[in-house]
Amino acid sequence: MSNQDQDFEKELRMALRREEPPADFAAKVLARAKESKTAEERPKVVEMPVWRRPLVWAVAAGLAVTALVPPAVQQYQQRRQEERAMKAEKELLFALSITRAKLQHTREKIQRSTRQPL
Amino acid sequence: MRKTLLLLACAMPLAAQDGFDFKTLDKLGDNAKNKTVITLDGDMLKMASGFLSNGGKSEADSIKPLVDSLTGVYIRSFEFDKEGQYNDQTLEPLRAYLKQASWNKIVESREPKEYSEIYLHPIANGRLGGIAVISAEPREVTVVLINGNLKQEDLAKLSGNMGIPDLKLNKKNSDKTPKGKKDDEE
Repeated sequence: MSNQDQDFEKELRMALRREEPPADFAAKVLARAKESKTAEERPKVVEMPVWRRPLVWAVAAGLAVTALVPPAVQQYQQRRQEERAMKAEKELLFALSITRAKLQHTREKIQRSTRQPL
Repeated sequence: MRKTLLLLACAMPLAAQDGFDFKTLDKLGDNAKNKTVITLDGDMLKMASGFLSNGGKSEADSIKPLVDSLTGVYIRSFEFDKEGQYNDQTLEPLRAYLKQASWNKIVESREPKEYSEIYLHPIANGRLGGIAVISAEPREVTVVLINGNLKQEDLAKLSGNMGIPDLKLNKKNSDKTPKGKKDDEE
């Protein structure tokens, strides 16, 4: 075996010799693996934008209904109440007019029959 | 429990006597050309009164104190095309009610073909619990019943001033009830 061959073999042994890993190697590998796993999962979570999530829409719709419906109902009830009050007022005035007319009519009849003012 | 039931049983006839069932007068209008049916109970009168006060400036608002003292306003007025189209006996239940409830007939005017009766319901302290008018003419019959807690001077308001509009209902050859405006039925 020539010297050149011996050097080559020596270098090869040196290169292939067993070398112990650093003490924190396992921890580093695990940390890296966890990091890459989280990175892989993250896109799945943000796949749908927040504004497109059904739950968000449901909550928004609920809030809108809660905010808009009661005032609308209250406004409708108030309008109906006013209409009923207006109708009642008209009927009342008409009823009092009839009462007045009938009382006056009776008074006139009595005045006619007695020829004296009441 | 038994005492409560007994008290309730005693109170029920009193409650029934408290008001007159105007449905008994519906027969009067069977052949009527025009009907005016107005029923305003306490709640409706409160609403009307509230509306009067809300406006505040109209002439009709001056009757608000009177309206506030009312608890019920009932009008039944029927007009007919021809004479003899209603049965005067239909008014008897009303007369019986007024008599039973201690209303006093203070005016009775009778002419050959028509008559008028005015009743007052006296209550404590010189006040009136109501006024009732029965007016029967050949082609028209009107019943007015007003309940409340009225002062004597309220009668003056009811008989012709303080903001009650004059519709000239008793003028001959003039429009009587505003047709189409107030021919409503319950």
